[in-house]
Amino acid sequence: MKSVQKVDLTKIKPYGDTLNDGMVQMSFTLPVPYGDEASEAARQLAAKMGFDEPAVVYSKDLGVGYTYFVMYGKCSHTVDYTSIEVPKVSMEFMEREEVEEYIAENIKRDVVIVGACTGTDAHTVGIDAIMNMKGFDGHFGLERYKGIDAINMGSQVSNEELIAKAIESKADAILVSQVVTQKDVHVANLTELVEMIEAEALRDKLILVCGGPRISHDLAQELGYDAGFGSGSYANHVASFVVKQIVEKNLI
Amino acid sequence: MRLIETIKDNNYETISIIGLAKNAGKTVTLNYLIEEADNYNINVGITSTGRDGERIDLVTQTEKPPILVTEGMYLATAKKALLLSTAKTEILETTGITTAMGEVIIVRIRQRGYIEVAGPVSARDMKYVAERLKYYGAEIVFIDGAIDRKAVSSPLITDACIIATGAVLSRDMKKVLEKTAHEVECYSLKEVASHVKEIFKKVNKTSILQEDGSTITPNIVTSITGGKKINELINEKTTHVFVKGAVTSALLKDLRENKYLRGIKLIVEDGTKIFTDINLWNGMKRKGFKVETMNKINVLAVTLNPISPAGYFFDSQLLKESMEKILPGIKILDVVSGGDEE
Ligand code: B12
Repeated sequence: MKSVQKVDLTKIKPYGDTLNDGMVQMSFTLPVPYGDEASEAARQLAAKMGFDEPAVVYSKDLGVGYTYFVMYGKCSHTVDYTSIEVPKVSMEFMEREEVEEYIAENIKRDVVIVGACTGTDAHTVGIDAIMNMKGFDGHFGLERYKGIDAINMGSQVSNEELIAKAIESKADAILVSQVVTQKDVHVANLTELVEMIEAEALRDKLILVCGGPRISHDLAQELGYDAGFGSGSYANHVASFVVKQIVEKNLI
Repeated sequence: MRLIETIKDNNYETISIIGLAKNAGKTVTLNYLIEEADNYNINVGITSTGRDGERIDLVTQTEKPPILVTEGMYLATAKKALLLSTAKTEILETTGITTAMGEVIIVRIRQRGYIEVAGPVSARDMKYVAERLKYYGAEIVFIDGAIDRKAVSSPLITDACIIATGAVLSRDMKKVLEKTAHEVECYSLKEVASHVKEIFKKVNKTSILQEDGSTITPNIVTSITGGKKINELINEKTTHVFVKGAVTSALLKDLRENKYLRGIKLIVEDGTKIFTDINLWNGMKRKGFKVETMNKINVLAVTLNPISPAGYFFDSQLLKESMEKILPGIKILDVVSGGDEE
């Protein structure tokens, strides 16, 4: 058996066939007609991006004077993996049963949580994974939790409707899902919600959480949320965070 | 008069810098003000509702200008942001306020250098931090707003504000002008007559004022969905409608249908509470709809960034002149190319 070459985590780069060959495959479209000149333009562009030995391995005429490329190139840069630190919600997550016990012991009433996927965003799977009875990946959703009254408003909900529902149901927490991030619509959408909540003088009375595949805890906090949950989140993570915050912020 | 002199002359102690979009040039504006304050020997305090001073923008991954501070300035920032700063500092207080980057700490700058600022995110915590910065000796506190958040510019928190706008709002300069003008209009709304203000201050709820000085308080949980009920209570004797909290498009659409609309004035708490579609707002105003405010926001200046990180830019002279034309009486500064001229 050949010995496996050891990875230097302070200098990582892409892997193609052999360790540290830096091989990258990328694709893009250029607004020029298909042909040799187009391929040369793509090659020069990849070189400017910092790739060594850029090569066009596939190109296709998209019509209307546009060409699509698949390219290979070798990345010469490295990243120090050991120095990377991504802020995450830092707490010990409880399991469902523990959350239920925590509520019974410390809050002693039903916790109301309103959730929605807001704006024009129509992706319901994320918020359903967190809220619906069935849950996601073997983890039951909030609807299943004893002591939690989970209200899932679905997708394409306006910030106005969401806040109105939260006020009406005397919610303890609002959960917002944002999946589409084109042109930073998620940022505008998420800040509008916080601003409206501040305007309604509710910010100190509510736990505000957002989530989605491109949401980080860091970004969420920058936007004025209490927490952000990305890919691979489960209902018990959010539930743990929310119930602990209710106690910590004295919102019992 | 230079911007910094206006701030001093008016005895404004807390100034918010808000952006109408991310990358509208808030940091450049902040740097400009810090430099001006330094030239005038004014001790400033600095904090931010978002994260600022980091080289790479979290959302757009574009490069951002760093923030340079000099000895004697005060700073409120999160622990981890402090560790990333190159300026030497002396810790004055740990506030107990937490952020994604750790607890907010108040420091005094001991030696010139670059800083990263990540302050409290809620408006209430911000008010506390600004007070502390002043307590330690900051004569003027600058609060850098996050992304496009504006809650800190409410007169309950800061004395005056500076609005940063620019090409990033739209590829169409007309849209940039329109959006900026709308925001400035909302902020600079006329204050309601003082006797009316007193009445609404006492009621302190969304309410309707009649000719005879009596008020009706609709039974609603929020005006966001309360438009229909408010509408039913407005009659020919109504003079003012005060909305406590958010004034949204949904509410305005309900009011638009009211046949007494021309005879009434809508009173908002302050300009940060208005969330409306610009066309709806302008359309209603053309029909004689009048809006006034309980608390006016002092807009000190509008700063321009003619460049968008998306790769396009405007002629800076043209942008400045056009902005001056639609915002007469407001100081317009192109901070990217130098700020105050004289
Ligand atoms: C299914 C799907 C659709 C379905 C949605 C059906 C539905 N009812 O939801 C349909 C076909 C309708 C659709 C439409 C569109 N889609 Co689509 N879609 C997808 C797809 C394939 C899967 C998304 C999904 O369900 N993931 C599974 C869930 C479980 O994961 P999740 O959302 O990340 O949620 C987890 C976490 O993020 C987190 N989470 C999420 N929300 C929340 C909220 C809180 C509070 C918390 C705590 C946690 C949390 O917890 C969840 C569980 O771990 C993705 C591509 C992909 N493979 O990811 C594209 C994708 C999301 N869609 C995309 C696009 C562009 C669109 C369209 C704009 C396409 C178009 N041009 O019309 C439209 C948009 C329509 C609209 N108005 O929003 C892009 C988004 C790009 C971007 N970043 O902006 C993607 C990434 C595809 C791509 N690569 O281009 N889409």
